[in-house]
Amino acid sequence: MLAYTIRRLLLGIPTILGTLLLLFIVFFAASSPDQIARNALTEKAKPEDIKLWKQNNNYSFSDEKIEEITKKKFGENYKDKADKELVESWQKENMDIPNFYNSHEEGLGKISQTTFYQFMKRMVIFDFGNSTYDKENIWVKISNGVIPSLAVTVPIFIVGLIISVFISMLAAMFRRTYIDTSVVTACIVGMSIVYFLYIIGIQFVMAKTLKWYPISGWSDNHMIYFITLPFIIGTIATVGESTRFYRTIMINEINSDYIRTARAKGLGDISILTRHLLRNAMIPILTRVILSLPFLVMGSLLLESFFGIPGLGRMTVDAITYKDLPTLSSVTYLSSIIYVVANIVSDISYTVVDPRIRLN
Amino acid sequence: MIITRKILLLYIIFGTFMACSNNPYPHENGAGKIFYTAFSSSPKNLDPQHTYTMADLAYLRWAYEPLVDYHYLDAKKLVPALAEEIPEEVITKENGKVKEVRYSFKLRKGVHYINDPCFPGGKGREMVAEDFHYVFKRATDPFVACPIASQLISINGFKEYGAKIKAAREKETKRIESETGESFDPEKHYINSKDLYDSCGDFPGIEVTGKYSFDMVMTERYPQILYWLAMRFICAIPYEAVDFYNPTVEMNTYVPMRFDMHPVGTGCYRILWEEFRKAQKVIMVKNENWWGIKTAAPTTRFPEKPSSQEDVDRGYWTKERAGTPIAQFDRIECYKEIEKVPQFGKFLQGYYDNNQLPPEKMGEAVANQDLTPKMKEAGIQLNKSPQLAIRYIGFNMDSDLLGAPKKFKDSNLEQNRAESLEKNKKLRQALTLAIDSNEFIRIHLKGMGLDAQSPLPPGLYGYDKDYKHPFTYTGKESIDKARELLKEAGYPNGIDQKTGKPLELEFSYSTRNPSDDVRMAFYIKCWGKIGINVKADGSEYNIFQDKVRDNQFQIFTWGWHADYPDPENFFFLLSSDSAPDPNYTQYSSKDFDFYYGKLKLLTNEQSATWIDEKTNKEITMSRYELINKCKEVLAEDCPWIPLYHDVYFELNHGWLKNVKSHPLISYPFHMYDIDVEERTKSRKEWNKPILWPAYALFALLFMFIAPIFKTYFKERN
Repeated sequence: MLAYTIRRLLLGIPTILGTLLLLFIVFFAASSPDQIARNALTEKAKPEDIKLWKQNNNYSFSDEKIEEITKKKFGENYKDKADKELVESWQKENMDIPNFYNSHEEGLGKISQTTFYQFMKRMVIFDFGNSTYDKENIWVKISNGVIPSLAVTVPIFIVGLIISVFISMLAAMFRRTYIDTSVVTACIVGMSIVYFLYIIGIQFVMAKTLKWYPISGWSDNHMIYFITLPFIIGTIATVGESTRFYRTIMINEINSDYIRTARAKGLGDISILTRHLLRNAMIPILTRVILSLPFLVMGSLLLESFFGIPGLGRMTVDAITYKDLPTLSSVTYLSSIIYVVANIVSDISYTVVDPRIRLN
Repeated sequence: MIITRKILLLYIIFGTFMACSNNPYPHENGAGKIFYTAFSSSPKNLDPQHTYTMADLAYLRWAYEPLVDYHYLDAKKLVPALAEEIPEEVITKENGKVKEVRYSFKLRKGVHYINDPCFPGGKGREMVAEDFHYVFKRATDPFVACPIASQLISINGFKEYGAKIKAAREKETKRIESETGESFDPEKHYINSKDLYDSCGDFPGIEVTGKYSFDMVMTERYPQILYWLAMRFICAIPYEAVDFYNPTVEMNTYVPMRFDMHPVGTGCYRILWEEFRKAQKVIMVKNENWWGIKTAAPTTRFPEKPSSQEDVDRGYWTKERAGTPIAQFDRIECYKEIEKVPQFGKFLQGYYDNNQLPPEKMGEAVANQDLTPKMKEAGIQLNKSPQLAIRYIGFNMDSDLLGAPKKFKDSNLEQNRAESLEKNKKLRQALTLAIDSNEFIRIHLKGMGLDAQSPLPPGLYGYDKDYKHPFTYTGKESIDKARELLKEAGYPNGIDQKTGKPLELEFSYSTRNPSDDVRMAFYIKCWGKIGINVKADGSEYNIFQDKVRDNQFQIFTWGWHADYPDPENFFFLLSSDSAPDPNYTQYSSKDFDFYYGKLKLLTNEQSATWIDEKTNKEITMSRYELINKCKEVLAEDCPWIPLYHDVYFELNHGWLKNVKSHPLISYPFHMYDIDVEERTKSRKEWNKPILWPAYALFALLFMFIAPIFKTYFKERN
């Protein structure tokens, strides 16, 4: 199993690097270093401020380097000979450090002196640096955001899981009765409503109209008070889809021979459901549970935005809004690592719940 | 044990579903005057010499103080703040030309910075003139990137001193690199600013004449400089804080340890670091060291007199408040609310004291430009705040179709340029005539705007409410006139006479909001009415900025908010000297430049005299007349279509007192007062939970669950 785990971990590396590459391409296709600089500075930033910012943040060559490459292109005495406008426009186009291939360097420098290489180098050693938007250390941002995110997502996940597994077992047990029909109908209705609408609707009814809960807010000392409404919304919004999924599994299992045998042996319903049915339905449940873990850590984008929860979800939304590549890539990088690890853990856990499975 | 478990279960069920309080401030004990407000973003940069972001300016306004500031009730008036009085402009001439312009500042004594660990013993030291010497030096530093550096350029030696600092910084960088053996990283290595500036010697633009006095020396007249000094770019900053909170210091969990996030000033409020949560809330509390507690000055006391009868009628000024200290709140609590819907909901519940009305909530609060009866009943007040701002459509004067080709800028081709400009002027005039701004304001802004006839907004010197732009839309006759002009320009019915093909233009705009495409389609439709086919070119704001700055557009739309209340701050956007940025249209008119050049050196009361070259006669014009001349030239040339001036609709609860919108002070919360008792009473009354639906919900649940048990037992038996 150790060999399998190591092999899977090693196979996970290209997946993570691929994710970073994809993120890098998408990000730089959508925004130039000038645009990133302008976001980081102010709207009224002058071209020289933008240039300085890019140089300080390794998006642009230093003045000496620009001078050097200009001389290479136009000759030593370019200032006297070459057309000033032409030189300036060439410099403007070539002052940014290339993304993947730096033709101004020699040897390995062609690869190592590029934005992508520097970006990957920092990611690999987990040196996330500072946010380009507010200059705050990204590790500090992440560590400050993890607790609020988990405070919202973990209760939703655990309670949602218990409720949906319970209801699905109930539906399977009372198959073809009004209970099953009601559950399926409720699930389909629940799945058909978009998450956003749940938030707006329940927030409007429970917080604005009935005044049961605060509309939004957060306090480190009153977490339970503030997560109650997001918790209710999150649970209601997710329980429909998962119940339907678990119901299918439960129905498959409940018609199995071992259940019939257990009944014939005279075992009680609770014992059949919990000790036999649930145990045998565990593999798909476990897969789903473990694969959901990365999303718990990364928080809920919509819930956090609407309820003013200072978690990682809201941080990600801000990073997208402000084109904060270091923050966005750090969060994506971490989530891809957690996702790969969760996948491996999920595979390993099969052996725990089903002794017939052997990993090799 | 079983009983305890049942109680716990009941508690969880009922506790979860029936917390039964919507108070977002469970920590609040009701003591003291607290002001609650919301912002859509966290503070980004709190270095007063660097940031120009609106949300940041709120905190800076309370934490730092400038030399002079705006009068709260009379927006155009400057009053002394840290300076004892507003200095006079002293001009020295040589051979009839201005040699030097000097402003002598006398600073207030006994002004202390907030207590902060950056000072020895943690006790805020006294502010002295040397601090301003340092601040002006810092403004020249390219590394600080002060956004108004180009406006301060007329201060003696400003540019040269900046170059000196740049060279000294490069030298220091190299020294650090050779000492450490690694390349300089601004996040890891720090160059002490005080030492660096000291190594560059004195800044000739500032002459410190005493412990509490200094002279600002300028090389030319620029009366508007005082307005720039009323912003926070030049304010009292202790060098100790800049160098203490530097990027190499580790952040302390929630407390940022960099100067650009750690304000240390002399203002009436300071950030409460114990409760600072950047992503969530910023709490400001009274500065115990604030000089204004003891000293009565125009910026530390509420105005003794109203500036107009309106101030009295609308309750902006009250007798009880006259002459009382500002900063009435013990705490200002600013919460981050990304979404407008929950923010507005909390305002209606009384948990925010004020709220800028989002257009999507307009219908809920305002009808026919007034509050709905429901809002009035709740005692909510509507504050319409016309901004010193202009939204406009600009034409690229370097484009072949709308202005004159760039190549005609050659002095030999001046005649071609003049002809091209004259021909295309008619096209611009036609395009101007087609735009029905009033309809746009009615449909798309829901009345939150004022039709613009010139670049100058109401409330500004030179604004004339009776002035009408000669090419403004007035109805069908405007469309007919526009068609005629099109014909004269060589495009009858929108067809290019030369090519026989329809004229096609491109309209660039930014799509910050999803509704922007719909809004811009309105203008395109207006042009369609005169037969011109305009293609929409919407792009993300950053890309749009690049397009405009790189002159890659034909027609674009943008806006401008005044930095200070002077017409010069609008007209400069169209002067030749401001091209290519911020004169994005590249408009260049000798006449306009001439009148603008005269008016920018005058105060409102002054006049300009010159000898007319053609008639050889002496001409004298007041500043007002010069402004009208500028408007005339612009109206004839049409480099812009003035669209509208923004009007912000702000709502506040009746318990908030002395609320007056200020076009240049975005967040004057320190001037407000509050009736806490009234707020507590209203909140209690408005927020009684409605419980019957909860019981109905439980009953429904029971009705669903009970048959399950019934079926179960029936089946099993």
